Amino acid sequence: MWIEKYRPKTFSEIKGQKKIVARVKAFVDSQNLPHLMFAGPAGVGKTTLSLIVARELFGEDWHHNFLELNASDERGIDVIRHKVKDFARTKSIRDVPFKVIYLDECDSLTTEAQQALRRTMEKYSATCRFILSCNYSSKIIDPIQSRCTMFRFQPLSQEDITELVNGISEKEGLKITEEAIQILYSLSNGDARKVENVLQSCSVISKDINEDLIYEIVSAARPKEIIKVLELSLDGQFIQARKLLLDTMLKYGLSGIDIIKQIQSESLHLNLEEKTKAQMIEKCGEIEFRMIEGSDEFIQLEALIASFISLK
Amino acid sequence: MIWTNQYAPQTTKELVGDIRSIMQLQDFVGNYKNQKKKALLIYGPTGSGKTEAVYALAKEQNLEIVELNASDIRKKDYILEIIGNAICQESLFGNSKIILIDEIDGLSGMKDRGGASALASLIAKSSFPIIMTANDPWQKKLSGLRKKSKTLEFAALSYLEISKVLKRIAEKENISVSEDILKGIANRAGGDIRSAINDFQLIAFGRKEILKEHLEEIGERGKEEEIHNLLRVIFKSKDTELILQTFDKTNLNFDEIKIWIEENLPKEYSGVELKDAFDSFSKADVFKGRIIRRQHWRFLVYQKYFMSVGVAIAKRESKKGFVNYEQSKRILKMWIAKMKYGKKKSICEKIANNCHTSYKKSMKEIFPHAQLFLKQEKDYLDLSEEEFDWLH
Repeated sequence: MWIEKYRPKTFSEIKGQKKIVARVKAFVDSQNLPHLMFAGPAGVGKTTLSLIVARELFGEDWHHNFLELNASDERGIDVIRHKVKDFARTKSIRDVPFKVIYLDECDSLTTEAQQALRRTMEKYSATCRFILSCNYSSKIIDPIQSRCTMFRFQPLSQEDITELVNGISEKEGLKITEEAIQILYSLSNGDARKVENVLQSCSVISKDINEDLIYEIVSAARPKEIIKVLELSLDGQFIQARKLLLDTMLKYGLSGIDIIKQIQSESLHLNLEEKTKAQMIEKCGEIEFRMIEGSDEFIQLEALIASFISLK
Repeated sequence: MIWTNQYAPQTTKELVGDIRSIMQLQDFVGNYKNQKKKALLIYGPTGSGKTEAVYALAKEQNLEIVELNASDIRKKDYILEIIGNAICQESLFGNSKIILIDEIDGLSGMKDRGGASALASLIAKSSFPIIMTANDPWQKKLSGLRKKSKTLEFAALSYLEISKVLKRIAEKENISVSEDILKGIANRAGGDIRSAINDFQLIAFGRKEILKEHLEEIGERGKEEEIHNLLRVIFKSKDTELILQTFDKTNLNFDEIKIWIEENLPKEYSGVELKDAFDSFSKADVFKGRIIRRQHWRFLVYQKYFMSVGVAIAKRESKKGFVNYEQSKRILKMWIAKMKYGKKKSICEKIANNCHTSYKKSMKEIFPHAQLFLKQEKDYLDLSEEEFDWLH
């Protein structure tokens, strides 16, 4: 996969984030690392920089001294604590001053879990350094923030993305138009992972990549059925709308919350009076709340689309 | 093959039940020209053999049957077109024919009023026998039709008559079964021969000998009837007390009731009613979620209220007419999808392991984009053959 094949291996290969890279490199050169916090949107190099830190610090054996955990996958803070404990206890392979624990997607932890994480960080800080990553630093409790050196990553610029795309095109033998790169940039919002995934998808279809192909690939990744569900329900055709909704959810493996998010964002673009749209959005919010409190997501979605029937 | 079809009576001699009723039916068709009333309304409980008798007679006398059931009769024009044509046209091959309108009591009041009166006006003109069947012929909406028709009752079959039919089937199917067991099956069916035959086929499936303990497998009969009854009460009435009582009487769990209501609600309600009913239904689900999370079982009262009475009082006008309630396929569909989904899940776990990312992220952000090229990454991700096949 290109997202791995073209993942930067050294500080100098990282696109953008120049200041952050320079400062982190200085820490690594001095062999003295504080706890770090990387905040920023997806696909801008948080994980990549952490992996490079480990590589630069530990050389070939970096795997043994680096623990990568994902807060949104590990079931509960207890699992994280156990893994950290086991990792911190074992002796390091080479003579390194500390091991590094990378904990991704920390903002998915609850406040209580973050409190527990703070204690864990304190307990093992003699032997381990933590690199925490999150999308929004505001979701991280202050006691953790104050223990970390914060780095705020920015989305990659158009120049960064152009450089990235041209580099890959050259190695993969792709021909890509300038307009296509421009579109790729604006659709990706500076997310390198997305750019690479779209590019690899395009390459399956053609080595000549233009804007149309990019559009096609990007929109294919987004179910169009949701708009149809909205149209059917606004039209009063509840039974058909409901069937399409269920089939779509099952086909793409979407959760109730995924669907509400999409319905809410699609409603904004419907050709309806603003007042009607406002009613739809309000209902989305109410149903999202009920979904969190309730037990059966689909019932809640049915209530949502049923409420659209009498709007038009 | 379904036994109720396979062993349907072919002649009137094979029919069970009151011989006088059958003779009256024969007389009506045979002497149609001399009948004062030009239509016959056969009534009796479900499974008393009304429709079968008409078919057996038609086969025996080589008559064509033009059949309509309640769901066909929605509009006046439709009635005039279908029956009007059938009445005037000579049957193919010059045979005579019978016009059979099954389940006439399924006509829904408001919508089909035109249909019922159109039908009534056609009766006098008909040159072919018109036969209607009904469970309950005394409904007000049928009064016009009733006046123009001769009525004929088919009583519920006795368990002895039913067990005789079952015995005949057992002999033809080469199944060893005691008469006591057959009587047991017949007894449970409560005069409904169709359900008795279905039950019998169910327990005889894959067996050559039927023992007493196999009878327990048909305990489920009546469950569907129970739920249909509850749905009718909820969808058709606004009587809080009746609804809650009926709800308490059913032996089904809340989840089962929930999916039945969910599936059939849009068949009865529409527009604002449907919106309000689903709103109440969604509140019921919120209480269910609170029960699960907090183990606070008193919330059950609210869940029950909102999923039954709340749905009932959402209707603006009372619902008449017959709706064929169906079982929901949602749970089955979800189960099938889960099986399929399993492959996607394992693929995404592999992506997560190989690409320094979370499972959730690979599911949401990587998979939709990468679906196209994942086939090329079989080795990199170490995909199994099944996972690989699933990708396309």
